[in-house]
Amino acid sequence: MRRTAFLKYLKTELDFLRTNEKEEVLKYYDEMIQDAVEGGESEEIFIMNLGEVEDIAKNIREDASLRAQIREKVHIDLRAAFDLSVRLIGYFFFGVLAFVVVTTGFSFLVSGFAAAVHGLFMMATEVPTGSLLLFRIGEVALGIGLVILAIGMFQWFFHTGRNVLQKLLEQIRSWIR
Amino acid sequence: MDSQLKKGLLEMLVLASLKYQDSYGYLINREICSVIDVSESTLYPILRRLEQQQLVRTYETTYNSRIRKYYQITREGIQKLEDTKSDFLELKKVYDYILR
Repeated sequence: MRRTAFLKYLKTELDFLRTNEKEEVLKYYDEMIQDAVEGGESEEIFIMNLGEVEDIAKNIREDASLRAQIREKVHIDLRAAFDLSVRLIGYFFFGVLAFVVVTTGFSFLVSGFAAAVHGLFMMATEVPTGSLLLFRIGEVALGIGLVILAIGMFQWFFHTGRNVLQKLLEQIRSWIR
Repeated sequence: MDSQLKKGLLEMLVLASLKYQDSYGYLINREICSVIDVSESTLYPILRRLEQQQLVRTYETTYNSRIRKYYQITREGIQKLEDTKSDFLELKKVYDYILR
């Protein structure tokens, strides 16, 4: 077989490759044959020694599929690494948020309870009138308000916070992909 | 010889053949054939793999009014060759023991 016929045949056997990859292979063999001929070898014998065109194509197909598997594995590994990093970052921020909510809520709860009890106690012992009575009622109302706020914060955090975290993680993952 | 072992050895042979000077497909194949029996069609996937692993890089020059592709070993390729050489020294002890 001569060079042109060999390359034409090889081209038909490489249909599974993308055009640019196919051109690369054909260029490689074309160059190899021309170098061999210039080096004093017989074109036909050199081409015969290259082996069956089907075998050449099979070799390249196997190698291409192996490379694709490696690429896919690298892709999966990277995705797993990203997932883990995103989860760790998410848990870190969730931890910080939990700390802020719990400490703030706890201080609201304690100070609100103290204010309400103090207001009631003073109203019972002082028997206030006029503006002082209004002040004591305000103190009790403020205390009750702070306690309700703290309970609301805890409730939001433990019931809704987890869902918010999940949505946030999903959002970050979709940005990375 | 086992085909996987042969493929691994061929990669190292190609890198070794490029250690001192850049070369092209036909010449690389001739050099390697003086050490191990290998067909020209075996070499192509190996060169492609080495290029993809960035152990070799390629460039093209004009020769006799046509384009010829040259292969050049990279710093990573030299490092890989050195690592493999130390592995081979360890393996040699094993071979020497088996073949004694």
